[in-house]
Formats: sequence, C-alpha cells, structure tokens
Amino acid sequence: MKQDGGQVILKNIDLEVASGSKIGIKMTHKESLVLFKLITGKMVPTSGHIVADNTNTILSEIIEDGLYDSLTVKAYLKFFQTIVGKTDDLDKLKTHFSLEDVWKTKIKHLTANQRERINLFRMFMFSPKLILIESPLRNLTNDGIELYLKALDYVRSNGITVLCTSYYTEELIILSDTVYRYNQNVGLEKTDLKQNVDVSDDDSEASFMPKRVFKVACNIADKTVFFSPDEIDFIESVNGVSNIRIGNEYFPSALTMNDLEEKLNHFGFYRCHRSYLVNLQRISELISYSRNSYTLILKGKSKEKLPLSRTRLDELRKLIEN
Amino acid sequence: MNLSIRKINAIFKLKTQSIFTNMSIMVAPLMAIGYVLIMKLVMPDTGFTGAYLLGFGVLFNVILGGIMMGSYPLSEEKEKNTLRVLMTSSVNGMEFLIGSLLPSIILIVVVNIILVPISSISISKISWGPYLLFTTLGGLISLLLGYVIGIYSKSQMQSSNISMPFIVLLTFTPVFQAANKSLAHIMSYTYSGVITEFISKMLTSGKYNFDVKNIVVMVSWFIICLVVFVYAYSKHGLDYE
Repeated sequence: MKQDGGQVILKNIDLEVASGSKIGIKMTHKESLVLFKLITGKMVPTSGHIVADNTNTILSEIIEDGLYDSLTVKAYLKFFQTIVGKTDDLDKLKTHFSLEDVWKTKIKHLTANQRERINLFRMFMFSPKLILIESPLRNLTNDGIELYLKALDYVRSNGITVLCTSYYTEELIILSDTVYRYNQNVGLEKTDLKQNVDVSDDDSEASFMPKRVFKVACNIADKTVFFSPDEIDFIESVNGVSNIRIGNEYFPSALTMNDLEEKLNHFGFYRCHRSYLVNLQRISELISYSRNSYTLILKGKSKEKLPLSRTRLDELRKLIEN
Repeated sequence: MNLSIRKINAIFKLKTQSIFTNMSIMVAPLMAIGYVLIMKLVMPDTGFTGAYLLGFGVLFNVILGGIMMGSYPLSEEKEKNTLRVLMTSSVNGMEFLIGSLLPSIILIVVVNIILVPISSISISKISWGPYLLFTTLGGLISLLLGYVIGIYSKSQMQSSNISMPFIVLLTFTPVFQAANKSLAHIMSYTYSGVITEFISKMLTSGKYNFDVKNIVVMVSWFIICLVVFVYAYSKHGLDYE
C-alpha cells in the first residue's frame, strides 16, 4: 500500500514481473507515477514490500517526459550514449527504431510517433532489465503504432522486460499479452486475453463445450478480449451495436442485445430498457424523477444513469428484493 | 556520492550548446558588451569613463548573466520535463550541477576579460589576479543564487519573476550608490558593491591594495549563498514540487 497526503494511491497490489513477461496494467496517471517510483526505489511503500534485483537496472518513462528539442536525433542519442558509457554503433541500431530518415533532424520538428521511438531508443541504450512505460501509444497514429510495436519487439528480443501502464485497456491489449486492471478495492484483476488464431482446421475441439461458463467476447485490433459478466457494468445498444461498458470504457460486441440478454440473464443481468442491459449487482439507487419515469443509478464515481421502463419496474423490484 | 567525469563532460557539452543557443540567457553577456560599446560612443571621455564602463559591463555580465545562467537552464529543464529523464538516466544532481556550472563560469570569465579592451582600458592598468578573483567569485555567487532560484521555480517565467528584484538591486548598484551616502554605505556590503569599488579603485589609483572589508564581504556572500544552496538542494533536490 502507498498513501500520499492521507490519500491511498495504491493498495492490494500483488504482482510478480517475470523476465520476458509482457504485462500491462490499466491505471490512472497518478497511480502509474506512484507505481513507477515504488518499483524504481524512488519511493518507499507505506506498507508491504517490493523486491527488485537492482533498481539501477530499471528505467521508466512517464507521459510528461520531454526531449531536448534543439538537438538532432543523433546528437540527443549520442549524448545519452556518452552518459551510459557505451560504444554501440548507433547507425546500425537506428534502423530497428525506424529513425533513419530523421537521424539529423532537430527533435522539435519530429512527430509524436518519432519522439516516442526516440524515448524507447534512449532507454534501450542503457540495457536495463526492466522498462516501465506509461501510455506510449496515446498520441500515435496507426502507422506510428505499427513502427513502435516493431521497435518494442526488438527491445524485448534483447532480453529487456517491458511493463506498460495506461488508462485505456485497448492500448494495453496491443502492447501486452497479460493485462491487469487496477482497482483499489480488489487490487489487480486479470483480464483474459487470447490472440486471434485461424481455427478453420481445428474441428477436433469443436465438440468441447463446457457448461455454465460464459464470457463476452470483444474484438480489439488483432485480439479478442473476454470479459467476465461480473466485470461488466451494463451493455448499451447504439446504432444496432452492443457496447459493453466496463469502468469508463466501451467495447463493441458482435452479439445482439437479444443474444446477450439470453446468455447473461443467468448471471444477474436485466433488460431494463430496450437499449440497455444492466448488471443488477451494479445498481445502487432507483430514482423516480416523475410519475412515469424511473432511473437506475449505478455504483462508481461516474454514477451512470440508465433508464428503466415503467412496465419493468415491478419485475426488477422482484428480482432485486427476492 | 560518486562523480563521473564522463557524465559531467557530456552535460558540459550539452549545456554549452544550450547556453549559446538560448537567447534569453545570451542576452546578458551580449548586453554587457553592447552596453559598453554603445556608451563608449555616447559618453564624453572624462578620464573616468573607462572605469565606469568596465564597472557597469562587469556587473551586467556577473550579476545579470550569473543569475540567469544559474536559474534559467534549471527551470527550463523542469518546464520541458527533461530533468526527470536525465535524473533517471544514472546522472546525479551534483554531476548535473557541475556540468551546468562550468560553461557558465567560463563564459562569465571570458566576457569579463573581453570587456577590458572594449572599455578602452590599457591591459597593463588591470591587476589581473585580483580582477579575475573578484569577478569570478562574484560570478560564482550569482550562479549559486541562480541555482537556488532555479530549485524553487517550476518554469522560466517563474524563475524570471523571482530573479528580477535581485538582478535590479545588484546590477544597478552604482546608480543606488550615486543616489545618496546612506544607500552607498548599505550597497558597499553587497558583492556587486565590492566589485564596483574594486574596479573604481584599481583604475583610479593605478594599483589595487587588498581591502579586508571587501574580502570579508565577498567571502561572506559566497558562504551564505553556498549554505542556502546546500540547504535548498539537500531539502528539495533539483526538482522542487
């Protein structure tokens, strides 16, 4: 646990970062800052302990980190090469970070895509065991993400473990193969991920169908993310697409609202409105603003409000109160 | 605390480049030289003109330049979020400070030397040992003052606002000294006052005799600024939030 100024920032975190692992943690900027300081030994936990082989071999990058804009890419990296005291041939390495065409360009003229790769290159030169990066893809274009992932693969192929944090699960799914969501009450919750694979010739497993297990699948980039029903706050239908709402994020599902209602009603979900399927466990209040309109207020900071059809009020009451 | 010459050298080169390309810092030495050149053309030669010009030029360079060179680069690093990157890249605060201080003090010394010929003062009239000692010590005091301001500032704008009263008070010492005797007496206890008096005496009497009061004032300012700097640095590091 880490408290700062009477406020609990991090709590209930139990995490082992194994060498070569690709871990992503969904958390806020403030939580990331504290986590990085704790791991790098710049901050001491209020309770609990952190075991690290050598904090000098851990580097971190936060979203505010800046570059010396007046220097060229080459001069900037040469400067850090002198700091680290290595004599690696930067000209050979620059290709892995896709920086050949801007090698002699001043950093102030570069795009966010290129600046992010420079940051990664700088940290790579130190040959750390672990790199902590906060939200590296936040302002990157699709092409920029592709090049960044290529550079990140190169970094990881050199035995460097990279742990990413971000407020957006989509970003972490692209960067990592193990994604946790941080919640102060329960600590780190693991999100189930599975790489998309071609299963057309894999009929032998088709007959295997375990009972009483259901997870909502959402396709994001080249991955499919599975959400447990208990993670979902509610599902909203927008223009015919069912959007799974988790925390402050929406994930589109290929299933229709009717399909989801049928599969999720065993897990405590209720169709409170034509466009909404709510997780009954998340309801905190029921308010009637007028005689014929009812509103459900959900738990959490955002206190989401969902409409409740008048005709379904009694049914909902029975479900909750029985 | 281990100090690495390699890292100090890398920071020295980086800071040399950043000082020479930052016009808000270079304005001080350029202003010192420009002021002397312009005033030399405008002012009639009364026999004391050279001493007046050199005194003012040196104060511009040592006070304005020193404080700005100490505070601006540090607050700029914080404002642009490059200091954290450096500090998490195995560079420690003392290596950063030494690497940043060296180009600044070298520039101050070089400009102080250049100011002598452009003030039309014969090189033989200068007691070079004491001249370099007083002006360089003055530069160091200003740099320390600048670093303290830099530690407590988050941006260049904030650093500029905090620096301004010190710069005005210390750079225009000769103006305050000319205003009235009481003020002149008070200003004689400032390091800028000592530098002004030293240059004036050296050029009017032909040779400077060490004055105990002046030396005590200079050393006291240096020690006080060093203590304040060590306190600020040890309490807040370079990054005061």
